[in-house]
Amino acid sequence: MNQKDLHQRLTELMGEQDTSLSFDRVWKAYKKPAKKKWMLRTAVAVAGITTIGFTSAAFVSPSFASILQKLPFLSSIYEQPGILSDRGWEQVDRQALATDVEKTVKDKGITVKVTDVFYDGVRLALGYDLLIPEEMNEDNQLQVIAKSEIRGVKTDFMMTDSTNQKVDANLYRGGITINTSTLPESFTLDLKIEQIGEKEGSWKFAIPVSMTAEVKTFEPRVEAVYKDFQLRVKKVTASPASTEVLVEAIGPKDAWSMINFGVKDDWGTALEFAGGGGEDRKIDPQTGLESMTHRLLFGPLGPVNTKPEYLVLQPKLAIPVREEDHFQKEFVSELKGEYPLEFDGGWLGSLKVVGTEFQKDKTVLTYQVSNLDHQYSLLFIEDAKGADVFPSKMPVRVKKEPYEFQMEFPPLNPEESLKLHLIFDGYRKQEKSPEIKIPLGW
Amino acid sequence: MTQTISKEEARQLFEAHSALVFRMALLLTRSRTLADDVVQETFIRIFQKYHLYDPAKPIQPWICQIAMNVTRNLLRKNRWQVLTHLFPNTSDPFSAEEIVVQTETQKELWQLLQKLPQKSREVLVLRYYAELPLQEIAVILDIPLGTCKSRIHTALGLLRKKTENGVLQQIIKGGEM
Repeated sequence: MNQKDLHQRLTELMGEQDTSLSFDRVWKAYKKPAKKKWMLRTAVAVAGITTIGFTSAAFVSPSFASILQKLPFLSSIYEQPGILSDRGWEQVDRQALATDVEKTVKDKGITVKVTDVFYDGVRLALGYDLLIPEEMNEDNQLQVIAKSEIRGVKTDFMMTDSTNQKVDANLYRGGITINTSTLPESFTLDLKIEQIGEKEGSWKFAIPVSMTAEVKTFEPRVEAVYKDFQLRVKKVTASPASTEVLVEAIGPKDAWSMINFGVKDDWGTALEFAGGGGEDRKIDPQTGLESMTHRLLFGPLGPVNTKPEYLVLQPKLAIPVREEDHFQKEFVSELKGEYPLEFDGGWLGSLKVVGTEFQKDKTVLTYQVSNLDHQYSLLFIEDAKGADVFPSKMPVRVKKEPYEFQMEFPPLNPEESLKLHLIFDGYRKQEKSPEIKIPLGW
Repeated sequence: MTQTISKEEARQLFEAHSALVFRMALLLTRSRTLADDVVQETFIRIFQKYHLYDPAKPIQPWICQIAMNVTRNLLRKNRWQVLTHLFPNTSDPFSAEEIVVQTETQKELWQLLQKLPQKSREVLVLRYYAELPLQEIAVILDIPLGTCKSRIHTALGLLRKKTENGVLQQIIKGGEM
């Protein structure tokens, strides 16, 4: 079998699939670009996207490479071009919370050195260096396929993701993040790397891990009923890298996938979503009800409101949203240094850009929203070449009132013609999620 | 070539290429709704930038390049919404799998493709679905030719690895560049 066979299979798979759009509709949208509507709403479509998928293969100049060599491993996790930075990993890096590990394995001519480990009882990450042979002239990033297990501990799920950056001709520096169930304070992590770039091999490590960050835990004993679910907040853990909320939900069998949770602080700032999963799933033989603990993982609290009096848990059911209930408004405005720039979305609320700082290494945009439902509205900048420049980090709340946020973009030249795009989304008939208060006694 | 595209030229372009753009987008986004979004945005950009197209060159790679950029941007925007976690989770009423997949082999191929990293899916779609030459794919993805070859090799390797005992093993085993 050959290329033609794969092409044939793909062609058969796609069959006569065709767009539901007519030419006239697209032409109309082209003629009236100001009113064109983005149809952004399907979370389903990105469910399987990995961090690897968003990296770009830019050329690394020798001078830049020498700077990169000094970068800590965590920067390869939180400073990937094209993906949003993770404030938790950034804090681990800034506060130097990772500990050194010196373990080296060589196979198929590739040396893997595990250099650092970070574990705060919630998030787990490893740093590594890859030394490749000269004949492997590879991309700016090498795909690393790895598996991990916690020795002697049964886990309900285990996701191992790797990223890296080329820092020299033959050297890559990277990080592995492991998202799994709740783990003990110390354990041995068995890591097995199975493929690096195109080379299959076996690079096995046994890494002793123990908690290296100060954490604060709360057992709030909060209970509530939502729809068919009885909810109990079992534990909240706050660390410099993360906030974890454990919620037990008891409900109908197999209904666990229908319920989702959002968490915000006492200022109404939604915490940055960082993963999680479900554990301890079991069925009560007498009632037939199923219980599962949802492990909700978010970024760290702060940076301004670091010790909120309480958190707010918002359960919501995954219900399909009807197209006619979804509203979207896109605004475009030139960024010419004149502020405030106000965008009025009618019943959706308004957003006001109050300043932009063009710094050497980043561009910082400060904005205020009239309604906290739109605190994370999508803002992006179109540069002089027409390329869309997306935020490099999630926005952070900098003032309680007015509701003020700062959002970082890559460095931009203010002398160029820049346009700011804002997309407001809203759902007219969206059911308001209940707010379950979780007091935190600091 | 005229500076602005006429409606008739635009119609011809749309009729000739919209199905390819849609199918590529469907393979990359797994959602008919998103694939429709990609078609609309891609053709708006094609019409806007038609004066920049060099008629001495084949048009399909140029269209694929725009479609690929639009798809990446759209997925990023969606990722933003998922990350911010403020919007209601929705079930896509037009989930592609149920509509596309008709046989077990197709199901296997569809699921395998969806398990691949985005970068691998992109090269496979461009090479084995759109059947573009390697040089064109390198230009579309803005990567050196060597990297392009290596990505295809890796993508085929990943597919092989994930198939193991499946029906598709034989098909992918012989995949040539």
